[in-house]
Amino acid sequence: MDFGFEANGLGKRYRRRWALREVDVAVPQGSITALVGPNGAGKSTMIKAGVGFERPTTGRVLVHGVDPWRDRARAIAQVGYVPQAPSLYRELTVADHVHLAVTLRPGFDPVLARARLDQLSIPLDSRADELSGGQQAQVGLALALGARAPVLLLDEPLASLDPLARREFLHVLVDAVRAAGATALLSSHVITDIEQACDRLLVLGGGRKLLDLSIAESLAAHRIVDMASAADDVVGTFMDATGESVSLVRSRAAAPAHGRPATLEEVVLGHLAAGRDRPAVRPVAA
Amino acid sequence: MVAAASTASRILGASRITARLHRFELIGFAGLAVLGVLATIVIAAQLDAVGWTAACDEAMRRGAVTPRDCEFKVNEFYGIVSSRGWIVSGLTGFVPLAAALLIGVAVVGREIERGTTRLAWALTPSRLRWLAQRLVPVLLFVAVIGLVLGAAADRWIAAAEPGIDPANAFAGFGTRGPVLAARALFVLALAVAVGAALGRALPAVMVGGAIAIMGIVGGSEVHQRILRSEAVVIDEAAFEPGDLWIDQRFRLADGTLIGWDDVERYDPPPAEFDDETVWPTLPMVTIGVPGSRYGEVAVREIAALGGGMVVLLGLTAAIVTRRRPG
Repeated sequence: MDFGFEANGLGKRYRRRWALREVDVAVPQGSITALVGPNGAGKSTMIKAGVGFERPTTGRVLVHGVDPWRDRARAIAQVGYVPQAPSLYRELTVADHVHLAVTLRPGFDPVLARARLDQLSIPLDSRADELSGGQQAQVGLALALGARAPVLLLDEPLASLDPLARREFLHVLVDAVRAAGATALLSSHVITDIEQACDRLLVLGGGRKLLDLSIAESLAAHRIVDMASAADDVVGTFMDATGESVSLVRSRAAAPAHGRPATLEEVVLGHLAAGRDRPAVRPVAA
Repeated sequence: MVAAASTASRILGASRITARLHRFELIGFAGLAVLGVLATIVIAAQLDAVGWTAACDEAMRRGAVTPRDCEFKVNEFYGIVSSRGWIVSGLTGFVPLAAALLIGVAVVGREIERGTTRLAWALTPSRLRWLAQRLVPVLLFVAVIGLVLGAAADRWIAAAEPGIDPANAFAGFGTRGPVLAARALFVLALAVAVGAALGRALPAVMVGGAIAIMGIVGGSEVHQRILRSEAVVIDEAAFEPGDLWIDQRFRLADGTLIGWDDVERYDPPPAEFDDETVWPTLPMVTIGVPGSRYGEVAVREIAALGGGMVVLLGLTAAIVTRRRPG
């Protein structure tokens, strides 16, 4: 199988703290993978390593088979990146941004980028600082899509968007990725939205990989029980929306199913709870 | 043909974007530069109109009897120089260097500070291409205002010191002519490098400004030492106002040169002084560099500043290709 994004033994240390440690990930080509985890889980670090913005302390990242730290030019040519904050030039109009991309990136498709912006009725002659947060995120996405890159890395682009803007953003993303057969790695906190858009789930916690399955497998492989028995393979225990303690357990094909099916949010919460309880990434010894 | 047109269009487009990013600084400093040129033209014309000639200047400098015609003009001439000259020298000397510093730190430093490098560096396979797009229009701008204001300062020195030929005189060295443009470009390269290293505009202005002052003062000191080592003996009568004065000596009969510390030993002062007393009686000479060497020395200074600029731009390129986008 070919992979759009791979991390092999990836580790990143900032001074005495490991942001990522020994992470192995393989994102299949053509998939949209949700990268989920709490703040400080290492999501941004992993995505930035994919754009060559962070140098791995251990291991390596491959984007469409290219190591961004060793061959940044080739790797960047494979990547469309949407940063956490839109990072637009406030002095420039939307049209200027498209033109900027044309001057900076060989092969950039301004027609595609403008078409995306037209679809969303984002005025090309508006300055970036006149746009709403959702529109700015859409401009960032249009620029990433105009790059016609086989891999899209999106670093929490939904974080500051309202629900409608999030839905629009994901709709555009899914359409574009499916049409181009691209691979997308989308980091986000908003699990309900990504369930509709993504086909894989990658959970990071404390700098380590906690779960890496397709969405369907993730849902099928887990159940929620109110009171776990000794026979249950408990992943993690957390409080549900009513304040009751519940446990996420692994489904067993041989055993009769009990409890109820887990939602994607519960799968994530269960694994994050497990990650929280597990000694994860400790500071480097002095 | 089509490819060349496309490349030209891209370069023009990139330059237009860079100009828009720095439009406040560019418009502001271009305005100040125009003001400097206009002030020079007007005030220099006022000086010319006084009619203080090279002959007047020469007579006054040598302490000779001033032609009667000059006596009426000296106050008016120097009145204009002292009351309005600072406007010209302030604008011509300050604007290119201030423009270089403030625009220079913004080229990379402000982009890192605002996070726009995250967008630009993720789009471009070559950060050096991005740097070139940002830098070239700004380099051209600073070079043009440096050269224009340098030429204005040349015009000013010619008007304010009618006895000298600006092309063969050390008066105002470094604050006029192409050397001024070279200094401005050096400060620009320094400011770009400091901005890239610090990634924040305001601290980069302060640090870059301090380093630029130290660099220019230190560089001038080194240059002065080099010139001192190249200085020649110029007879007092032959010393021209465009020559670079370095020191004064007395010549003994055997040709040996001595300084003020040794004068009393070879030329004892009279017991009493009055208005008619002339002492020392030994012939005075000047240690200096003839003004005719100005062009050569200016080229050397420009080459040194150009070398420094290339090193700083290389350093910037290394920083930009390695650092995080902020």
